[in-house]
Amino acid sequence: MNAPTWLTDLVGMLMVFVAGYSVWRLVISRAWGRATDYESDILHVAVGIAAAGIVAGWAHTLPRSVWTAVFIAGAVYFAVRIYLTWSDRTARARLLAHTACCAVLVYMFLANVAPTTIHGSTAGMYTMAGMDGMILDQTITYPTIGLIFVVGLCFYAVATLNNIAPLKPEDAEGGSTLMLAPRSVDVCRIVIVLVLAYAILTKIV
Amino acid sequence: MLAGLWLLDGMLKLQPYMFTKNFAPMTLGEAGDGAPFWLVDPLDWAKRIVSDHPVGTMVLFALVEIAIGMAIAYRPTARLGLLACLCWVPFLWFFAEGLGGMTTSAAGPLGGAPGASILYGLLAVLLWPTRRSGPGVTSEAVRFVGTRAARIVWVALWGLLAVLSLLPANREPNAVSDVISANTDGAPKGYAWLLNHAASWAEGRGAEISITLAVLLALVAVSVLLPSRRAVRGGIVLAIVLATLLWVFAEGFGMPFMGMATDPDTGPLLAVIAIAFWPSVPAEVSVQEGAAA
Repeated sequence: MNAPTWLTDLVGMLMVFVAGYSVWRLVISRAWGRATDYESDILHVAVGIAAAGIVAGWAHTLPRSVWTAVFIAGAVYFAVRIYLTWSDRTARARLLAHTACCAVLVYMFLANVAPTTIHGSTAGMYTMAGMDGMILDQTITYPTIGLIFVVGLCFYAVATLNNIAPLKPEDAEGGSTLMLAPRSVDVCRIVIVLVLAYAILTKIV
Repeated sequence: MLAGLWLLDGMLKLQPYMFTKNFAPMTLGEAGDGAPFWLVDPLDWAKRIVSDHPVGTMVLFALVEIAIGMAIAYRPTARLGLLACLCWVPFLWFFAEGLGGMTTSAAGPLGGAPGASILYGLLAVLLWPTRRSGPGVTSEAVRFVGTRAARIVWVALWGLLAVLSLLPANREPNAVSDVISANTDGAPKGYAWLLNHAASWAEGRGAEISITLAVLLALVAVSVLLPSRRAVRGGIVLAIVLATLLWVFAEGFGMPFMGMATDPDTGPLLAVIAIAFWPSVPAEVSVQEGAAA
């Protein structure tokens, strides 16, 4: 079984958009001389491109082994950064989230979370699970770890959303684009987290 | 917690199985098993609609539940989210869960009664955001509805589960072992091993287990009425333990291992309700403790 093609395409495009937006932030922050969290933006670019390839076949970029190496390196980098900034609680929490994100992606690449192997979609068809004639898609290894990650990702998304400070009228007056920027990073993070959870769930069949 | 569970529910509804024509007869069809005629007809109607349009309906269901979760999580829209939850829950409870199986002769805590949806609704009311404080606010659950109403809810919920445990169908010799065995399909090896052992132990002991469970659930129900804070806490801990046992052994974690789970089932919700009743330390006590430290 697999998800409707339009849904995976839409999710893939969403990830490409997140990656593109993060690239735009990196470029524009330099051009405009604004402060930005480079680590988050660079991670979002990498995760956006990688996750798009995980969900939709047309967005395939680098080989899985290369992506695995990239995110292992990312996890190590962020772990070292946590060690170095241990006293700063805010930075520590952010870096811990980045490390966890890299770890989830490493799992996804190793557990074979990938675009569907079925030609077309089984959506709207009869495909009895566990019965003869079922249209089988490639499933993942270690699904229990995947499910634990899905639960963790959902609750992390909720926690992130809960910590986003509401937009105040005075924020908008000062220039909504600039004031919205930090919140938009959080929104990107939530979108990424939900897409990663979705990608794992689509392969538990 | 409530927001996270709603979000998880919504995400689970985006699994490939939900978009197939099998979902409606397999999942919604089960809700009608043993239900009275007045419930079977609307359930069949809902089943037909989902079966004919699985993609459209399931995407809609998923988006509604994801939106509810997100709205509850984001502070400015928390009330709106809870209100949406209260509007969505009756629909879900009736058409998707068949009133949580409460109209069947085999309704019981092991079978997921009174239904996950109604517990979502209950939590939405109990956790409604309010600034009310003072000595009367002894736990999160009483903050909005008040102590008396919260106690009624607690006693009714756990008392109902205790009574349902004693129904003849739940006291059959193999009633408990059958429920446990049903969760082994697709489960990871270690978990299946645990379930198989539990099922073989429970074989022929349906009556003993159901009566013991009923007694423990009744103790939980009355614990909230006791004057001692320690006894209340004991009852809540027992409630959390029972909810966990039900979730692990009777509900199979909501059976997510084959990509067919629509929600994590009632176990986590019962535990969250119990946590909401955890008595907070009175302000005077915490001030005294702070001064002593």
